[in-house]
Formats: sequence, C-alpha cells, structure tokens
Amino acid sequence: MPLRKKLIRTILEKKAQFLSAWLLIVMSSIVFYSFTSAGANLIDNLDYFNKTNRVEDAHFIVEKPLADLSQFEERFQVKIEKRYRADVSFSTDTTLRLLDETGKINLSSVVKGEALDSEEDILIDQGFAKAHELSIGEDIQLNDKTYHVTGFMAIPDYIYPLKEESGFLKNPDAFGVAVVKESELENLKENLVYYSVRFSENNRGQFKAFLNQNNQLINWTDKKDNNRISFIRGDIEGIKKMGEFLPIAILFISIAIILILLWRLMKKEYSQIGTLYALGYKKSEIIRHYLSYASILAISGSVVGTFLGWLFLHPLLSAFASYYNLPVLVVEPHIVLLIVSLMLPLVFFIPLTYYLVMRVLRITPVSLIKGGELKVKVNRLERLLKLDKLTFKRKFVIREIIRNLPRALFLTIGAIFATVLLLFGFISKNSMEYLVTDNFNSVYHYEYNYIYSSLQTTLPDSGQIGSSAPFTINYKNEKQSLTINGLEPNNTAIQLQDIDGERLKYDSVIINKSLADKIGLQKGDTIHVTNQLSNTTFDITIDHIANSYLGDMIYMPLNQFNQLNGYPSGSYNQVFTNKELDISKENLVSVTKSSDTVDGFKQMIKPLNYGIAGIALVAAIISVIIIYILISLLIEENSFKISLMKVIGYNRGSIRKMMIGYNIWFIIIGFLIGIPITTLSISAFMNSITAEMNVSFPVKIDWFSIIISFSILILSYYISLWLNNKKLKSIPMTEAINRSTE
Amino acid sequence: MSSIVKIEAINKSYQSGNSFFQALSNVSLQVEKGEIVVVLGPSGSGKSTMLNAIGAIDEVDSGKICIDQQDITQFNNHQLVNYRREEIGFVFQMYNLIPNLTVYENIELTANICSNPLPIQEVIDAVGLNGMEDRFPRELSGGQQQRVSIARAVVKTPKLLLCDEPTGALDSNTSKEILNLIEKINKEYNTTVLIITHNQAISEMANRVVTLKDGKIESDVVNEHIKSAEGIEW
Repeated sequence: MPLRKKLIRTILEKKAQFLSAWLLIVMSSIVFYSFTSAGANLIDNLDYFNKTNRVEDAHFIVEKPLADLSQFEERFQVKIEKRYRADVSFSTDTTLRLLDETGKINLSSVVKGEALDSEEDILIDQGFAKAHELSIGEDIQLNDKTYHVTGFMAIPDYIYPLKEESGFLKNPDAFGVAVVKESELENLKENLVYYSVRFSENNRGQFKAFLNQNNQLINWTDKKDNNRISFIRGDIEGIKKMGEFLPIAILFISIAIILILLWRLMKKEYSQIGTLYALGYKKSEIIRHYLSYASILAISGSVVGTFLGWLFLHPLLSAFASYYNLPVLVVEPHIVLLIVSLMLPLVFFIPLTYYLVMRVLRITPVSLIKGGELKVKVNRLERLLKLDKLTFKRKFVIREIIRNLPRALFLTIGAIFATVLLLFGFISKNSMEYLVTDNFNSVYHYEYNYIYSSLQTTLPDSGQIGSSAPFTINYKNEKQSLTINGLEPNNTAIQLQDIDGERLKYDSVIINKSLADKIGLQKGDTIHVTNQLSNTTFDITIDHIANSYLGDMIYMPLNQFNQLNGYPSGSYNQVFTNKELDISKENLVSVTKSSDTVDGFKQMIKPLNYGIAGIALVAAIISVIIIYILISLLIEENSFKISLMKVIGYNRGSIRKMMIGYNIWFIIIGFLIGIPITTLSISAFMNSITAEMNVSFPVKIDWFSIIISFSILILSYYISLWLNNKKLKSIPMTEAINRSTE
Repeated sequence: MSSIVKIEAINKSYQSGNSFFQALSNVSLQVEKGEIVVVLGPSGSGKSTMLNAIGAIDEVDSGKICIDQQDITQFNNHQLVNYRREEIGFVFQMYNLIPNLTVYENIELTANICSNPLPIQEVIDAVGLNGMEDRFPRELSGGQQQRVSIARAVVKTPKLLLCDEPTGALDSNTSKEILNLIEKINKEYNTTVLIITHNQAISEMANRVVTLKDGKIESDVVNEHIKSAEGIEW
C-alpha cells in the first residue's frame, strides 16, 4: 500500500525526531512495567512468605515465664511460641543475633544450602553473609564455639534485619541474624526469652489483660509497629508509586511531543491531504493514515519498553529482595500490568491524535490543496506591547516568543519536568543526610541506650535514666502507634529544639514533628492515649512541638509518666550513657549504639549515590530529547525565515541568537518553577509512603544540588543546540527564493 | 452526443471577515461526452471554483451540478467519495504528487482505491515514463511530474478529467507535450476533458471554449478550427 510506504518513509526522513519521541515511550514503559510489576511481585512474595512461614502478629516479653502455653492457645484461639534470642559478638563492633529454630511461628526458609542438622550448624541471613564474605561450608567462631555454616536463610520477623524493632537503618556490617537449634540458645546465659503470637480472633485486648492479671507485660510489639516486618511494605509502596507517577509524567511529555510533531507534519502535508481527498480517499482512510504514526510509535515503543521492563524486573527484584532478606520464590508477569503497560501509550495517544487529525480535516479540501491559509496573527499581547523603542534584534526575538507562546510554554514544562527528575535524587539524598547527620546527631547525645526487661528502682552507676512504653491513639478510626518517653527534666541525652531552634526542657509534654505532622497535632491539643502493655488510658496536652523526625515520639517528665501509668515513683526502664555499662544481658531487652545507626546510614547512602546518578542521567536524556525536538521543529518551521536571513547576510551566530537563543530563558524559568514543585511533590510522595512507617521525611535541599542540577539542565540545552546545528547549517539560501516563487 | 456535465445556475460566494466575494454567479454550462472544453478567464474569475465544485471538493451555495444525469449537490458523503474515486480525475498546476512515493507508487495510490483501474504499467507507458517507475518526484523535471499527475488521474479511467492550469508551471515545449498527452488520453480512453487556464493558446485544441469573467460566463463558443496540441502556437 503506497500510504503505508509513505508512512514509513516519512518516519525515516524525520528519524531523529520520531526516534526521540519513541525513546520517551520506551522509557515510560520500562519504568512503568519494571517498577509496578516489581512492586506487585514483591507483595506476592512477601505475602506468600509471610503466609507459608507464618509471620507473627505480635511478640511480647513478660516478667515471669509463661508456664503453660496451651491454656492460652485454647482460651484465646491463638498460636504462641516461646522464642529465644541472644546477641553474640561476631567480631569487634559486630553483633550476630542468634535465634532459635521455630516450629509454629516465624519459620525460617533456607534460601541456599542445607537446613540445620546438628547443634553445631548455623544458618545466616544473606545480607550479613555477603557483608562478611561468609560462604556455605565455612566454620565460624561464636562465644568460643565453632559453628558450621550450612546455608543462608530468610525469616519473616527479620525481613529487614534491624537490631531494634523501632530502628530504621540496617547495617549488615554491624548486625545480622542467624538461626541455630533451640538447645544451643537454652544454654546461653545471655539469652532473652520472648513470645511470638498469631491471632485468629480480634481478642488482642483480652489476651493482654489476661497476661497482666498474673504477670506483667514488659514489652508488646504489634507486627505493624515492628520495622523489621513493616518497613518493606512502605518501600514497596514507594516503588509502586514511582512506577505510576514517573511513567505517566514521561508519557504525557511524549504525547505532547508526538502531537506537536504530527501537527507540524500535517501542516506541511496540507496539500497532500487535500489531494488525497480529491483523488477519492475517504476521511476515515486519511484519519487512519495519520493515526498510524501515533499507533506505530505507541505500539512499538510500549512493546520494546515492556520487554525491556521485563528484563529489568529481575535485577530490580533481586536487588530489592537482597536488600530486604526476602526470598524471591515466584516471578509472575502480572497479566493486568503487562496489558496496561502495552496499552497505556495507545490509550493516551489514539484519542488525542484523532482529535488533532479531525481538527485538520475540518479545513475544506480546497484550502488544504492550496496548503491552508497562511496566518500571521498579530495577537492582543503583541499589540499591547510597545516595542518601537527597542532594537530590531530585540523586537524580532520578542515577537518570535509572543507568536509562539504554546511552544515556549511546552519548553518550560519540559524544563520543569527535567528539574523535578534531577532534583528528586538530590533532595532525597539531602533529606536523608539531614535526617541523620543533622537531626539525629543534634537530638541524640548518647552512645549507648540500655533497655531493661523490667522496671528498675535503684539508680545505675552512671548515665541518665528514662522510661518508655508503646502507646496507641485513635486517629481517623484507626489506631496509630507511638512511643511515650518519660525523661528527667534536666535530661541532656536527648536534646530537643522547637521549630525556632529554642532548646526544650522535659518539664512539659513535647511531641516530635514526625508524629505532629502525621496526625495533625498543634500546641495545646489534648490527646487520649492507651498503653499497649497495660491498657491504661489517660489524656495529655501538648505543650511543645520538637523539630525531630525520628520515630513517632512524645516526651514528658518521668514523674508524670510513672504516675499516669501507675508505675512506681522513681522507676525507669532505660539508661542513656556515653560509656559501656556492665549490666547482665538477661536483665536487658536491648542495647542500642548510636554509632551503629550512623554507620547504617552511611551504608545505606552508598547505593543511593548510584541511584541519584542514574536518575540524573535519565533526566538529562529526557531534557536533551525534549529540547532537541522542540528546537529542531522550530528550525523546520522557520526554514524560510532562516534561509531569507542567510540571503540578506546574517551569519549563523546571529541567526542562532535571534531564532533559537532566547529559548534558554524558558529553560531557566522552568528550572526556577521546578524547585518548589519538586519539594512539594517529594513531600507529598514521602508522606504517602511513610504514612505506615514511624518515621517522617523532612524535605531539604542545598545549594550544591541546585547548582549541579542547573548545570546538567543547561548542558542538556547546549547539547541539543549542538545536535541541531547541522540542521540549521543545511537550510539552503535557495529555499527562500524557491518558496517565494511558488 | 449526450452531455456528461450539466451545470444549472450555480452560485458560490465567500465571506472573509467583513468582505464578501461572489465567486460564481448564476453559472450554467453543459459539457458533452468526449469533448475537450477549455475554460478561460483571468485570476479571480471563478474558473477554479467551478472546477472544484464539479470535482466535488467544494460546495456551491445553490444550483445543480449533474454528472451523467445525477445531481451531485444532492449526494451524501459516501456518494461523493465514490464519485471522486470512480468518475473524476484531477490534474493540478503544481502536480501535487506525494514527494516520498515513487512514480509507480503515486499512480498506485489511485489505482488501489478505484474499482476498475487500468494496468499501472500500461498507463506509465502511455504517459511516456517508461523506465522512471522507481524515481521520486524530486528526481523528475516539471513536465515529467505533470505526466505522473496525469497518469495518476487516468489510471482510474475517469469519465471526466479536470485539469487546473496543467501547464501553468511549465515552459512552452513541455506544455505542448503535456497538452499532447491530454489530447491522446481524450482520444484513446474517450475521456471528457475540462481544462481551466488563463492561457488563451490552449483554447485552440478545445472543442468548446468557455470564458468566465467576474463569476459569470461571458462566452461559450464552439471551436470550428480545432488544432492538435502539436499545432498550437504558443
């Protein structure tokens, strides 16, 4: 069919423009399919792993060991399993947490190697093994005993292997988990006994109350408050949201570019369209021909993009799964996502292209044959401006801009989009750095935090005392978890400041910014809280909001804390100190080192730098594509004018300045608008993914990042100019003469 | 001879902003089958408007345009498309070829959509473009491009060949060649030809010469001394 040949030849003639637009569609499909299906596959694998390996609903510590678990199981229709754990030193500053091999809840899966066979066997989490270059079959020395590494394992309550369940940065260099036979842990004097529980009915409250009747609940952690289990969901949400937002944005940009390309193409082919009419072609045949341009780009782009997305899915999944200790058991193509990925560009393109073609076909065939009416509109804005006093060149440029406002607007939007992408990575990194280096270091002024397994009344040898307990608050018909800390008024281990930088003392009730933002609390608000361990409830009024983002925290005077909770006066359950204390491990629930958290952050930030470089590269490519296409169209549209300027005697530099040079201002405007848009959208994005996590993200940006992003954008602009230089050069002077004689 | 085109009192006006322009005013015309009719007139006389209305690419405000006794002003969209497809061949002043299709493909463009096309190669031979089938328009001279345009119109064996200034962009020798070709088509395929031009010389080859001025027919004269295209004095 001749029209099909025309289609292919036209695409080949304008291959640079079409290829650029096609690349955007491919990129959009790659990101959409790889991210959304990675998210869906991770959820599948997580759900499958949690179900088959029976993840706990909660775990708790009680003052006295539970003697008969079966009576609880029968009475409350629950499954309970006694668990042992012991932190042993693997090397200097490195702790390996030994867990016992469970039979009912939190079953470990052997990812590689063999299951435990004897008491000398040990299964290690993959991240720790990788960080310490441990291999299967190797022997390791722990507590003067040699263990034989039989394999690597994953366990549902340590998918994200955090030392503390309220922590937020894992550090496989300093901490890991391993599974050994129960008998091994029974014999270790530093072991800690706790219980994992799975509910089949909604009777958590009664269960806790029953525990407190003859015993004392010291610690209770629900699955959703356990970052080792819950963090992964927030991250998967982030991946999925990224997989939805980014490709749709790229797709919109590519739609706009392709529509501009087609509009320009049809304008150039007016007389051909009119001729086709005169030859007897139906409107539908002409529409189909022009729709084919969009369809070919959309279909081929989405097929190639989806295929590449499928290829990217596997490394993305394994990177994510190895970051979290999650075995990837199944990888499904997710047919719905596959179809959406293949169809999405087409669904967007066809109606818009159809609308565009119909607009052209509204012109009468006779006008089309004549090439359409030439309109040089003098718009109202142009009439309003008094340009008489300006130099010719300046007047010329201003008129060019005013007469092509939609193009200028699109270039600005393109620059905004590229800016958002560029800054996204930088802002994420800056915000993370602020969260830890600025915020963490300025708030936490201790090295060790010892948490006791029961309330203490005699003062420690050194350090500052405090108490904490998990609480809930009803927010939007759901229970929001938080931690309330009781501190002595002159505590200096945790130093909080309000938003104005004013140091806060612990003689009042202070809420941190993370929690205040999450549930919309202001100074003076009163909230009703419930102690998760004892079910004690009371009201507290917020006196101050602290500029801290780590965890969802409330701080109050220790005396008031004890009094409201019914704890003995002067009692405490944690100590903050700068030097290591000699406390028997069986009396402790945990010991946290601040330096481990900072190291964990450094560990985590490393791959982020590669991510930022990757995002910056994608942003640069996108901005080069957008600017290249728009400038090449500008040159094509103005080839007559350019040719005429060459005939008159303007040199290439002047022509470039007058016809193209002004576009840099739209890039700059786009960049400036892009900065606040990025901070606002990142803030919304982060809030949506951290809604379920007990951390919030302060959005911070520094000048260095702004300068780097701006330089990349400007460099992209000059690359686009350089790419278009050949086009500008190739416009012959004869064009002006030939066209004016036609 | 029976009439193939019968135009009865057609009117056509254009409005652009505040200005109003009467392109055709009460024009009536009859063209017999197999005739070559030349419509003469200066720019703005309404000759192109009349040709476009006969070719159904433009509408008239009132009046009838009967082609083979069928009033095309009453046709629906589908009938109009079929009419353009099967009955009409257009030849344009600027050839209007598709630049990225070869000679063969430009002709195929029409052959593909009509019900009874001539063999493409036969038409290429008839217009003297043998051996140039794979050339693109930019590789052809103006005259050769107009030959392709004629071949594209003729391949569908139209009843009526509408030529809009077919020699307007050509030199005199090439113009003669093109007119020769049109004459040949008229004779070989018994195609009725309507040529609009401002070039008086072309009228020498016509059976009838119609003159339009200011949207009205000024004269409609039977040519008693028809010359062959070859014999036209330019």
